Amino acid sequence: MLKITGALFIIVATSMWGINVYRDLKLKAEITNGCIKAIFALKENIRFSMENLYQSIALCVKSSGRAKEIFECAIEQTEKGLNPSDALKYALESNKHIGNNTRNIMLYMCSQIGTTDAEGQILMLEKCMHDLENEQTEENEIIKTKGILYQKCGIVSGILIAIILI
Amino acid sequence: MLSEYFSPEIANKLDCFINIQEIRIRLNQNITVLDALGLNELDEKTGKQEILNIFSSLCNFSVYAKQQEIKSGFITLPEGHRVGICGRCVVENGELKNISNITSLNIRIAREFLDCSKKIYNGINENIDHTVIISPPNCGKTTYLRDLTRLLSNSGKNVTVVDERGEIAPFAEENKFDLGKNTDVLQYCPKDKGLMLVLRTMNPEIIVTDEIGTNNDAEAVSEITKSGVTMITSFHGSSIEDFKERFPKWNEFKYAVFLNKQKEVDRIICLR
Repeated sequence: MLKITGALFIIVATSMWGINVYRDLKLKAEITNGCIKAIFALKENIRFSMENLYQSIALCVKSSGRAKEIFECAIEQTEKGLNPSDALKYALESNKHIGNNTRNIMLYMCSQIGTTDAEGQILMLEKCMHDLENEQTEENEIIKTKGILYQKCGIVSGILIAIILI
Repeated sequence: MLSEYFSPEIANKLDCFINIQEIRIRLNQNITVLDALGLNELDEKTGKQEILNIFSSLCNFSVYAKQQEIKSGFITLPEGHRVGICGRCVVENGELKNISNITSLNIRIAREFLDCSKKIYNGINENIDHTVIISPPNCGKTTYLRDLTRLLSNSGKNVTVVDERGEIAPFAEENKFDLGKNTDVLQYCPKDKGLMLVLRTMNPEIIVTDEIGTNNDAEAVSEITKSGVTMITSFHGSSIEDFKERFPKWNEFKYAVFLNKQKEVDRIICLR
């Protein structure tokens, strides 16, 4: 009875591990997608409304999907006195789920945002969107190839370990 | 608060001054401060990055949002202070598109001096008519206009202010100027369009605007004066001859008020 319970526990644990890895990969891709949507909203806001960054970042929260947490954190930091660029940097650096490449692209955007005229901003944001779209394509590829593999590996390795132990 | 635009080191030094009138920031030079006691130099040289940081802060970290103002060579802060900008101009098809590579900033502090325009008010109020305040730059025209608006408004007249650059009537809560109880303000609208708009919609008895000079302004002023509404405005100039030479509709005005370099009313003359 104890062996069976232990075996079941191992199977569940390794399966959960596999599923979590898959979910992490998916979350990274969704955050990248959210960042693309947010940058698009920012770009359109600069193009048509020319509102200041504080107001523009608040708009990003609505459009950013799974990246909402990053922009909400940035708004919190601006309320504590940080300027929008530094607030976004802080939010990006403290988020544990965002992919490294996505983070680097967004950090580049933070270093440039609010520093040039509207045309320069729009060009810079379009470049960032293009880079993020490429990154999203790669992440989706990884989910297709490795994500399912990790899920299956988790279950299979759990079963194998359980059999060996039993 | 002015200090929030600067680094803590510079902000601490600025706090030592009384009634700052002007702060000049130049690339690789010490910051100079003009206050009630005179001109002072801070022991703080500003490099390229510091100027960019200050400029970014003055633009509320959204330079693109201030683009229209930057094209005019200055930006107006929420408190009403005006920041003149020097740098490299980007010109396209003969039009100034942007100023980049900022090398100088000149922050002129807006202040309220209640009753400073009492002399002007007493001079024109009995037979109120179109009035222009004439002086070279930095003699207090906007400050006098602001106070005159308050006095006229509180005397019971409907006054509408067409504030093209947000200097006469800034809305920042911290530094809200008293413009009187019967004053309406149209902000950030081009003067010629703003004058026509308020004439049609606000039923003013007096319209106040700042710094007339272009032909479009002259046409708009002419329309206002013909409509029976009193026009009170200001003009950059050094003498009555200067005003007559450079402003086509000078004869629409009855009173010309001259300010001297000490920011006092020098004289009020009747033009007709």
